[in-house]
Parts: sequence; structure tokens; C-alpha cells
Amino acid sequence: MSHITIAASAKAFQQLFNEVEKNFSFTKSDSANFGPFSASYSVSVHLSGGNLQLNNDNTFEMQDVDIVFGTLDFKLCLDLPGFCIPSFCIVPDPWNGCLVGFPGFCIGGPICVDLNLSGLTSQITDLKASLVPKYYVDPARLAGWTDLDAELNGHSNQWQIYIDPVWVNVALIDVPATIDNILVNAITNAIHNLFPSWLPGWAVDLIMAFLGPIVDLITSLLGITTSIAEWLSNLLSNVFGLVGLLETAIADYFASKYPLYQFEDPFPVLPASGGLIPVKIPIRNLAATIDSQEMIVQANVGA
Amino acid sequence: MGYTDHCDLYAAVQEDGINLVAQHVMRQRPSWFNYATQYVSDHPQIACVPVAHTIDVTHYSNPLFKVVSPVPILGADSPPVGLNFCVQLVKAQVDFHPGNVVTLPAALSPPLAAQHLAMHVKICGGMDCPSEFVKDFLPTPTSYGEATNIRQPQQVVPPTRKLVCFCLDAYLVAHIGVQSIAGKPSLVGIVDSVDVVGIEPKGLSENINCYLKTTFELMLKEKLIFPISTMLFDLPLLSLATITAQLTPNPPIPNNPAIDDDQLKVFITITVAP
Repeated sequence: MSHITIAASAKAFQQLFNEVEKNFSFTKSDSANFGPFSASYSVSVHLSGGNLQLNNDNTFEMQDVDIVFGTLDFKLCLDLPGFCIPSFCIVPDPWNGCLVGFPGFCIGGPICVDLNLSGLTSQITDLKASLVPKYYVDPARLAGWTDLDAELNGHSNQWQIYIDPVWVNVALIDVPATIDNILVNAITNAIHNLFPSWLPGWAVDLIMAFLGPIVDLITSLLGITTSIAEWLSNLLSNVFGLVGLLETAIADYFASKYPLYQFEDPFPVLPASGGLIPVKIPIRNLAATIDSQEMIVQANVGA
Repeated sequence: MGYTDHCDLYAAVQEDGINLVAQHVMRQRPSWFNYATQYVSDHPQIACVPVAHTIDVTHYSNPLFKVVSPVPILGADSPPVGLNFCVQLVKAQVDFHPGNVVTLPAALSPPLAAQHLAMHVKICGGMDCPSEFVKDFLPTPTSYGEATNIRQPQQVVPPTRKLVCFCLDAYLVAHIGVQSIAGKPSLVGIVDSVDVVGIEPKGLSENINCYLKTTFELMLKEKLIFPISTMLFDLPLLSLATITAQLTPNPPIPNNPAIDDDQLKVFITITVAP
């Protein structure tokens, strides 16, 4: 029988997990040129919530953990096909000339739109993991130090229990259908900005009619065969590979960045008092297991 | 059956683990368990039992002994005379119910009752027997008479080469309660009865038993109190603002803390703020 047994119910374990996930952060930015258009993004992500299931095979699963894009700035640049409206005479001069004329102009070339997509979400659909205890020896600890010397110098050894992911599955980024209108409006505004300021409204309307529905223009320019929302989700999730990057970052984080539980070894059971040193107990053979009911941590007291 | 069927957090320490903890405490806080006069403290080699201690104790200039006054020779005041002595708690062994480590003496009504612990403590002590000093002793002349304005001479403590040592086996039965210390629920031992084996006559035995019971009770209340969070290695959950942790009540847990299966167990229920 182990000297020490600690158990945490599923409810307590879920709270422990939620504390660990709170400290996860992921930031990334990237850009790429796809021929007819180029795109770039900058994201920061945090995790929230999730539903826990403890398994009898020494693993647990978290499902429906929200991946919240606290920041998602997306920039899309595309080449608007160039064309010119030639000059023409509106009111001819009967004596061979033009009293009122339209000077003509050319538009086209690159236009860029910035979209603030902060607040989009994805989900960890399934994270399956076991627990792995690790013994951390502070590399800054000097060879001649006792455990107390190490503690007083802030370089104590630690027992740490990490979450060791078996797999992490992240869903495609959920881009709502409302993005269609947002993108169309943004591109419409960008095209408007190409027009000379002197251009009368009727002329703008005429040209926009000439360009046809902006949705069609966008889908044509970007080669979209599905909805804009699906296209954008795929672009971010797969083409830029954010889903894969997130899966890797989440797995790395749980496996080595932030332990579920850690404490000093030797563990202080009585604090320093009245000039007397603290009393510290060496902990040995730490093991962490999971069954369908609870997490169990067991250890021995060293001699 | 799971450990947390009726609670959210569970912690248990087995008696072998507690006994190792006791050894660590004794080696790292020797001055809580070794009492001696200044002379003995300065000459630890004459103590009845070598004081086991860790290297940090001496490295950080912690004392091996708690220095106490010499035992006064009653009636001697010209000058007053005191004798060097030491008292050392050299072994402590805990046995959680069911009793299977410590054999209780008949005076403590074995077998060990449910939800109790037994403890065997070996205490060694010794006092100087200054026969050479007395042989050569001359009273201090200034202390003759009744004059009250004469400064009393300082106590004389004969130097000691060797203490006359003895050891006693004391047994106690105790249970564990919970007290709030600095806002933290903490485990405290409550002594029920003490018996020192082999002391006669009965009155002396009762006096020694009472003295030791009082000593253990005060020591357990003043010094050997452990926050429940210590049993959980200060689990971070317990310090979260959103979590309220409290001992699981009866029902569903009839004894909390509980002493059974050779272990001390604690059951905690948490409430999560929305």
C-alpha cells in the first residue's frame, strides 16, 4: 500500500483541467500568395470549457472544448480586372466641339480588405490523454546544494503531473454565413474607393452595374465553388493549416508546458518558524492513474 | 468502490508514511524533541542519546536542544545549585486503527478503539550526579543571615562529565480533530490517555502520566498541526477563488477525518461558483 493516496472526483478533475486550459495561449500570423489573390492573418487563441469523461483504460477525454479566437485579423487582397471608361462627349458643341464631356478614367488593379473576425470559434472535438508524472530537476540548482539550499534559492525540484495527449482533434474554424455580406460590403467599399471623387453617382451606379453582382465577381476572382463562409473556413483551417497548428500547439502545451499538478520535492509540511528551518518530506514513486470514477495520485514518503 | 464516491477530494496517509514523516520532523526540528541545560547543549556528546539531525540543522545554525534551566537542588541557596540534565524524545511510532504496530499496555484498555490511533514514544533522560562537587563544596559566606539587601549569589551548576541516563516507554491513545488555524482547516491530535510502563508507586505514575499527557496535548496543539491542504500537496484547486472546499459532512461520511485501515483519511467536498 502506498504511503499517500490522493483522489480527485471527475468534478474536481474537470476543475483542475479547466485551470490548465485557461493558461493556454496561441498566437500566429502568416501570409501567402495564391495567384489571383493573396491573404494574411494574425490570430490569438484561448481555450474554454469542455466536457470531461474519465475512462477505465487510464485515460480521459475532453470534448467540445471551445477554441476562441480572441483576435483574428484577416486581410484579403485581389486583383480587380482593369478596364477603362473612355472619354466621351455628353453635350456636343454644334460648332464642332464638345460643351460638356466625360473625361474618362481607368480602374482596376489590387484591392485589399481588412476583416476583423475576432470572436470566431472552433472546437477541440476530442482530446484523449493519460497522465504522466515527471520529476523536474531545476537546471540552475548547484551540485553542492541541499534541498533546503535549493528552496531558499528558488530552485527546488518539483514533482509534476502532465497531461499526455493520445490524440487531439480540432474542428474546422466555424465561419458564420454572415461573413458573405461582410466580405461583399468590404469589397464593394474597396471598389468604390477606386473611383475618382468627381465621378457622379449615376456614373458609379452605371459602372457597378457593368461589373455585375459583387458576389459573382468575388467567387469568380477567388475561385470559390462553395459558400464564401466555407471557402474562408477552409482557407484558414486547411490551406493556412491553422487546425493542424492548433492540434500540435495544444498537444505540446498539455504534454510539457503546464502541468496539471505540481509541488516541491521535498514537500514542506511545516514552515520555517522562529529561526528554525522548514520541515520537508521527500516524496518518492509518484504515480498518477485514472479510472472511470476518479484521478488517483499515489506516492511514498522517502526515508 | 472509488475513493471519491461521496466526496470530491480524498487524501489518506498510511501509518508507515506517518512514521517516516515523524522521523523527518524529529531530525529537522531536533530542538522540539531534545531538551537540555546549556552545558549539555554545549557538550552534546554527554546527552543520553546522540541527537539525529540533518545537515541543514547545523548548516543553518539551528539548535539541537531547547535549552532549559538546570534542575534546582531544593534547599540550596548559598549559593543556589542546579544540576545539568536532558530529556530526549528518541522514538515515536504511530499505529492507526486497527492496532497492529504498537502493543498497548493494559492500562490503556487494548485493543485500540475504532477511529483512534496509538502511539509509542521512547523518552530518555538523565541528570548529573555531582558527588565530587558536593564533597568539595563550601557555602558562600555572604549569604549567611537574614539580610535582604545582600545580592543573592548566582546559581552554580556543577560541570558534568556524564549524565545518569534512563529510558521510558510511554504509550498514548489519541484521535484526530479539525481546528481552524489562520482560516485553514487543520488536523490536530487530541490525546485521550497516556501510560508510562513500569513506574511505581501509583501516585508517581499518575503524576508522570499527567505530565506527559499535558506535554503531548500542548505540543500537538501548538506545534504539530497540519493544514488539511498539506495532505493534498497544496492542490491548486484549494486556492481558487471559484472553489469552496469543506470537509464532507455526515451523512454521507460518518467519520471525517477518519482513522481506519491503518490510515488517516480526509474527505472534502468542493462547490464551484458559477
